Amino acid sequence: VTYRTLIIANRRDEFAADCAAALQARSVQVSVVEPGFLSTYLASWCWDTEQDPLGALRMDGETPVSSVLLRVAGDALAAIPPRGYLDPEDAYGAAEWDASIRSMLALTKQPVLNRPSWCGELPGEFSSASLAPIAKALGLRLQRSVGMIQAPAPSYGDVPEPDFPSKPAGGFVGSRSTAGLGGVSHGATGRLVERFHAHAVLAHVVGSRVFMERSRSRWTLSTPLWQRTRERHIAFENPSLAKDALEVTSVLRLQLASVLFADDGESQPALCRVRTVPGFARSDPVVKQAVVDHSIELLCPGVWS
Amino acid sequence: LTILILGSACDDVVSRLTSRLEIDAVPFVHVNTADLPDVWSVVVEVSSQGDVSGQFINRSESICFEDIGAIFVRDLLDSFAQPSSLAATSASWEVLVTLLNSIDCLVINRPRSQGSNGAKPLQYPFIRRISGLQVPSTRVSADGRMVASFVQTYGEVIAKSVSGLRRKVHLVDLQHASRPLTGPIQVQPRIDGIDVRVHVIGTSVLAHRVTSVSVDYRFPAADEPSPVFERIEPPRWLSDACVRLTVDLELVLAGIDFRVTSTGEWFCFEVNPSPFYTYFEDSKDMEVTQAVAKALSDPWSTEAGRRGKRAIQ
Repeated sequence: VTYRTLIIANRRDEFAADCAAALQARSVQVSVVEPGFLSTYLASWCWDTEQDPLGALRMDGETPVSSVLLRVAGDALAAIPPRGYLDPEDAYGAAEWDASIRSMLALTKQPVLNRPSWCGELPGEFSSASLAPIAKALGLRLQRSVGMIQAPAPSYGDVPEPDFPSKPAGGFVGSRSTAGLGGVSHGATGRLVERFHAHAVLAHVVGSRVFMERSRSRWTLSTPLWQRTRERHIAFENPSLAKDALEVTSVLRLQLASVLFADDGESQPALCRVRTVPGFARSDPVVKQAVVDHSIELLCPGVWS
Repeated sequence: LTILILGSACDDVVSRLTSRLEIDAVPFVHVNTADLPDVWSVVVEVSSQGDVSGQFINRSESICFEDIGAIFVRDLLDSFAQPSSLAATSASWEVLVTLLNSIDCLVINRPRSQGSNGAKPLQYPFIRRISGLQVPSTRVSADGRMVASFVQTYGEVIAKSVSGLRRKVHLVDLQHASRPLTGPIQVQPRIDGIDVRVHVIGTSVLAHRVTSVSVDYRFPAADEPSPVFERIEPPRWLSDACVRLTVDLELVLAGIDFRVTSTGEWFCFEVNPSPFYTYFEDSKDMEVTQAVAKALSDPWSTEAGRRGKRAIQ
């Protein structure tokens, strides 16, 4: 059997490059395509909806694609730059490409990491707020948040201050996803998230396996800022958190994801976010390699047998 | 408990619904999304247990989420006032989506349930599997040669958008297919017959037959008559299939498009999670509007409302 994996990734994506190298080392053909060139790659694609949408996906003379590693998510896939093939003015065409690719990846029976949901959606990140129904159902502790829509200078009373008990090192900070909203000041639109003084614990879920690591130090920062430290994480085990991470990703129907918890060592670790396109810039090399190895096993199960 | 209507005041669906609720003397609050954030502020708090609380506030009143019994939301993102920045739009969207996806009450319809119509080929296998309804043979391609071969196979072929963007359905012939395409198109054999729009509200089913000579009745040509809508009673099996589809898509309100052939075959085209139902209903009877108002007034009468109640309990 000849395998061909399509990797949709940006040029500087190290995890994608590592997966490509590992696949090629096992004689799997690999096509790495940047989102901006997908429309060119798919220009001769033809899909009759009774058939598998990946079945006919091939460049002239190439082996058909048997699996896909999708390393762009959310708006990045929607904003396919219309280079070459597509009229730059044609936003409609971009939306059509986006819908076609989402359909293809959601409906194919071939392995896809990560597959868009049954309704074609794959956010790059599930924030703590969006995880509320899952945390509630699973009984997990969740990072608290306050979202607000408020005029910058309202002529009437402000939205009340968040009335949460604040630990000495606690409080709230503005989320990076809503940057530009003026930090913690009121009179703005955005989201504030609970601030921790804790270890960042990352549970990388690959299929049914979980590989964990945590920050060496505690940080009094908001969760996105944890990524900015240059300190490498260390491998770590916590079966209870691993089980929680698996349950969360199972509900979200993700095969490859990083689940972030804040662990202060005293109270129950708090679920902070889930990323569907995990980064490994600070990762323990052993953990990162394990995630690469098991990801390509999911993409091309036959190469291991 | 009050009803919250979230949508633009300029929207015909919203204005007709608020009028209906006023006539019925049902308490409701309309938050015009164009008034966010200048007139209305919103705060949404998510606790460490995953509970969602908060309120809508304006100069004279505040509405706590716990006092809301049902929410009707209409074209959320489209109806925002011109945003001062993309970040503000994105942040507003996130706040409202958190609320609408998590609040324990009837929501018509939750944002998380509306995605399937954004990529239409995704709905076909779902429609077939859940309802057993027929869907047309469909080809998606950006290759004009493959579109041309589809035309050669089926003769009369129509093209429609793959995405959720509203665009006129048009006929495709060999000459058209041979021109370079600017992106993928979705082609289907043209099915001769009568269009039927079925609206499902909870377990209520209201259907309208559409008489039109146009390829796409929504966009009649200048020399073509406007479409004519007529209430019909759909067959029981079809009503059951439509309710099943709506419930399985986790929707409370859906507009489902069909074409019925002269031999009585029903082909399902799509399930619309945010239907423009006032286009179809008689402006005097307003049957669909009344059914929506009833569902909002008595949320436990709908399956989604009962699910919400179970979630609260």
